[in-house]
Amino acid sequence: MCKLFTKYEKEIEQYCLENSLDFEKAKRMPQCWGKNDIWLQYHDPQKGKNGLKDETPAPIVLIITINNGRVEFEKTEFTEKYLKKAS
Amino acid sequence: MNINSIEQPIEQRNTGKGNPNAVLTYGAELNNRQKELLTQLAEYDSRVTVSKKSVSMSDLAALTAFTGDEFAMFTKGGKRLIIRGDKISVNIGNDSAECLAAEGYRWSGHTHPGFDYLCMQPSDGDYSILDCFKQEVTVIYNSKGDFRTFEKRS
Repeated sequence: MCKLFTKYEKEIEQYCLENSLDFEKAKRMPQCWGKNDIWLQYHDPQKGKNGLKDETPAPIVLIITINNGRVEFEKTEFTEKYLKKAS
Repeated sequence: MNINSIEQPIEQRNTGKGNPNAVLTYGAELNNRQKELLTQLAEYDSRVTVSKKSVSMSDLAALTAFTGDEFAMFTKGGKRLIIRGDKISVNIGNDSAECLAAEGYRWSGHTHPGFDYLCMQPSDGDYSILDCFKQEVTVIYNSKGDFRTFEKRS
């Protein structure tokens, strides 16, 4: 798992709780990270069956950025669809 | 400092040759090693195996900056297999990835043409290929030489 995700796990869990998002789902999502940010993505194995022959981007579900030690979150058009907590 | 002690002008000593960002931004040349590699990867789906020490992901980023094409790199022991793609893909499906994995290769990484962060967004295909190699992580470089790491979690 991305070290940033592990380091800020509590903040991410709290954000999920406050926004009715499923933290357990978030933990299991594919992650893509740079120096100061993490993208949680949704992976559809059916769409990936052509491997590198089809580079259609997998949807970014949540963007987590570390800014001067503060964790900032940005929802995307896919956040509710793939991360909403089942009621 | 005596200015006369400078034997070469700065532009001659620091040309940015082979630096992906310099190649992309102001058309710097590839270095000789990269030029030699590109000669062997002249067209789509060209493949070449070279020694591990002779090529890095940063070299592939420079080749992407120069050509606008994707490149993928697989490593086995002391050698690397480089495959040239086109602007949107590399000819590696899940079947061929599984064959490479069975031969003992690992997926070192690949490039996505472009200069921003979003162009480094992994595809569903990227995550599936990671699965084929039973690897936890790999990297995507853009044309500037920036990179992101990605991991498929279960």
